[in-house]
Amino acid sequence: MRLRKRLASIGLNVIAWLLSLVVLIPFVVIVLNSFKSDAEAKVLKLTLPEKFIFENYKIVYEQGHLGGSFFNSLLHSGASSLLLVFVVAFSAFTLSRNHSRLSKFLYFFLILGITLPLNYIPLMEVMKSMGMINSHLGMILLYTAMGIPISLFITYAFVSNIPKELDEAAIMDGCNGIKLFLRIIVPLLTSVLVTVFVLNFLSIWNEFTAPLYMLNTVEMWPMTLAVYNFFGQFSAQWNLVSADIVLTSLPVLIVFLIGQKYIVGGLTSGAVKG
Amino acid sequence: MMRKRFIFSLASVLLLSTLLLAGCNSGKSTEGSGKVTLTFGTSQSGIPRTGIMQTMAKEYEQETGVKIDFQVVPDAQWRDLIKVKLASGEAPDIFNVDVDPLSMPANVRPEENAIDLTNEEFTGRMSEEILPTVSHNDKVYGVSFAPTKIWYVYYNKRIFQELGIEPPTSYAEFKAISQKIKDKDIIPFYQAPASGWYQVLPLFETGPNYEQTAAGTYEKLNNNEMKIADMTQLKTVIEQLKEFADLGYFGKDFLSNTVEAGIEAFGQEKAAMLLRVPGTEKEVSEAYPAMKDNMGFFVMPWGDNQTIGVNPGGSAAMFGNKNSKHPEEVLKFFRWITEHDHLQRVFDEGEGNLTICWPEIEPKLTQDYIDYEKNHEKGTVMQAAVKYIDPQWMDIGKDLSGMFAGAMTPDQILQNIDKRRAEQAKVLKDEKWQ
Amino acid sequence: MNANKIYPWYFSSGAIVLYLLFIVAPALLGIYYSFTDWNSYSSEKNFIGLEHFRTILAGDPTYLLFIKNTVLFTLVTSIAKTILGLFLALLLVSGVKAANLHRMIIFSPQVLSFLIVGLVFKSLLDPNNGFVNVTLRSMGLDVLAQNWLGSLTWAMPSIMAVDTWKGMGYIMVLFIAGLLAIPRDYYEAASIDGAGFGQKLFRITIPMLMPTITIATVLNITYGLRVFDAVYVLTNGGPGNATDVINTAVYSSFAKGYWGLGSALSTILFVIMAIISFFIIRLMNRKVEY
Repeated sequence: MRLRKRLASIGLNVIAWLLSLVVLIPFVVIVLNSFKSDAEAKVLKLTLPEKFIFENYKIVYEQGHLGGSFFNSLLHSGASSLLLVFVVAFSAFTLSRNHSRLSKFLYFFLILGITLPLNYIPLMEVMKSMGMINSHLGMILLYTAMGIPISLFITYAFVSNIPKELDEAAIMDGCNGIKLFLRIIVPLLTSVLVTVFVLNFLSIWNEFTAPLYMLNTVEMWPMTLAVYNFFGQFSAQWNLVSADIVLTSLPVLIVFLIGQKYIVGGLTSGAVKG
Repeated sequence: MMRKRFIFSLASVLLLSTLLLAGCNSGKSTEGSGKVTLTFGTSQSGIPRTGIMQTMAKEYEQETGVKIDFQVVPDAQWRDLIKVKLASGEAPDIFNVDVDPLSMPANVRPEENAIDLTNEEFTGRMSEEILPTVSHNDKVYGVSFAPTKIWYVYYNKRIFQELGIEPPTSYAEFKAISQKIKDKDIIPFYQAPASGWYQVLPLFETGPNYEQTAAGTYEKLNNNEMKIADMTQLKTVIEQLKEFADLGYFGKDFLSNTVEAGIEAFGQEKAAMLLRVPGTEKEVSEAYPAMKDNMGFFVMPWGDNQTIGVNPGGSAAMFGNKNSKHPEEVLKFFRWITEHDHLQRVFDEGEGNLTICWPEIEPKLTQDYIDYEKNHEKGTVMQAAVKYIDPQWMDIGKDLSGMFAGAMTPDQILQNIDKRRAEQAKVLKDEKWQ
Repeated sequence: MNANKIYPWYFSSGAIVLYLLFIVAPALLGIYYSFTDWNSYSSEKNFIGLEHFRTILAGDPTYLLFIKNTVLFTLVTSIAKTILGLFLALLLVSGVKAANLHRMIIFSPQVLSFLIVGLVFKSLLDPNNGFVNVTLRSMGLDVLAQNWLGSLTWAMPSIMAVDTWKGMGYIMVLFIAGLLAIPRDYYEAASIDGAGFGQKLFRITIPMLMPTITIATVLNITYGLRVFDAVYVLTNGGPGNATDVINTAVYSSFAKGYWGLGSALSTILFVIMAIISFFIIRLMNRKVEY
């Protein structure tokens, strides 16, 4: 019995590592490539560079406007994900608890957004009429709106799982709407809200069509467009493009690493409480 | 509990401050600090990859204090993006687009979108041939640096010598020499379908050949008196391309080949023939010194063509945005970049083209080009003379790739070309298609 | 207890306003444009009624091909991502060492934009020099080396594989969240009763995961029907039209300047997706309330 468990455990570990390796290899290739010289990097290979050329990163940073665009990406992704969490938490709470027909209708109306394809041309016209073209505020509000349908869908499901008895107990203790929300509901929703934040942060960070249409000046561009601009000028130089990819991906990886801990923390504490 | 409160309030403060910051920032960028910045939008292949434009823009900034911000977008996205931006009034101050005399008015809508350059001093100095590609209704709107584009087949002289081959003058000879080259495990002819446009060249660059054999073809096509599907010669060319693919003369697994990789293969002598433009010699021998003085050229013999197809336009031209906030500055830049010395520099330090559409600049054609042109008929390429071909160039490329992969027949390709021509004619309300 | 006082509707006002302005308004405009002949070549927009829809639904085989490809893509990737995501989540939750590390690694492709993933995989899958084929050949497995993105048989499967590689981490994370929310007591009670792994899986885990499975399915299906980046970046619908999906067709319509026609295609896609999502969500609501 013990041996069986041991073998099963080892087997699982091996499978886990194999799968991780499959996922990992393309990344390793890119990172290795980012240090290679022009000639070495013509084709992506899993070989060590002859010499580690760190200048590639310097070139990419300077030519690719990475300093400013990093700030833009951070601003857009961070602010809109935060705003989204606020907006979605409040909405999911009331829409799922209040069983009126209006609430049900509003919920389905908002969820419909998951299926709505984004047509950039009318969107540009609408944003222009609001004076939001080429503005940070415009992008943040747009991204928040884009994230609402799916985030609301996920959060709503989790809120529904919180037993209503908790609400009733709190109300009997004298809580009104907002107190109930902040004291009782939000703490239980932490893991979902962090997940929503992280997932939206990632998808907005990688968004490139929206900024391509809505932002006109290079100063406003996020990192994805800077990569694009860069790739436009240096397309055949895979070593530089790889360095660009590494620099653009690092921030999000870090956000995910940090967010991970909270997701785990929130979830395990929830499981312990039962 | 306290911790959660703290996090909550911290988060709200952060959010509020970022929103305020964002709001203020947007305001600031429009007011500016008195320094003018011009935005220059272009596709990857629209400006020389040597970066000469960007370098000169920096010098302009030092001289005048006006900064020029380049927004370089890969080719595939640019064509679509610029249309949208023009339509919504959000286009850059200067924009660079591919132009040809037929489709420029429809693509750029210059009367609404471009600054009128007709009365500028430099307009008179551009060559006669290029003016149709940048003008509409007798007004000039664009500045071009285009070379007279001619596509030749460049070949490796040494390989030809070793195999005792002469440049072919007919399709049959072309086939025969390719077989000899293939037998030596060298790629006879480098084909690059992955770039999307390269494989389409043989169809239309040999246009003068069609005109020669059946005069008036171009006109009939433009008057909708004849369909593409009726052009047996064009069908022959497509079938010949397929034959080359099937016989392995494009190399193995060539579907994912790109033009950049082609230059490398040619330079490393892994491929014997490559379709390119004059100026290739400089480009290739700089990267691969062994190829210096080792390159010859001949017209592409598809369909037994022996004519030289000339494309008077076919490159990118710069337009000033009529709705720009700084039209005077745009004009000043145009005047600066078209000063004789600056034109010379763009020509010299660009991608090694041998001609430029400014008669005051000496072309760099070597004697062999001049002699070759004397001995061969010249004519206009089909895409510059027949309507609704150029806009569907990439679609035709995709269809050809499909044919190479076995998903389409030559007949289907011809039918698709007609279909798309009819679509565009309808949208543009062309009376000949009513 | 007045429900409306405790759960006031105005809590949702922020979401509603943003949604109306940025999502609904442009969508309505877009639908309106489907009925016009709007294009990039003229600034007039004339009403032409259902003409675009007639063109599209007239049974042209190319349009049917897009739809078939889209449906195939959606089905295969949804199933693959769900099964792989669940498998990985179970694996990582079952006490594998360094589970956090694995979770991070497997999720990380999500972090990259498809632009980047596409560039990288186009190079990796290159039939001549690409890493995959070179490795296969060096192991003597020449026979397996294919023209991954360029052949009719392998192009679509390759796209689906790359998309699954990128997307399974997201689904895995959802399942991990769902799994961790199942109280351990259930499993302990079942063990005491003598239940084996299979029984635990099918009697406890999967029923308790139904909400998560539904969310995952909705996300997968809506992603699949709307897919664009994956196909565009890897093959641009090629070779020929073999891998074209609805959204790449919409895009090429727009790119050609046929904005009215493109909007019409987009509208049709929206209607299809709305109907399908409506049914799925209806199904979910029923299941949760037991």
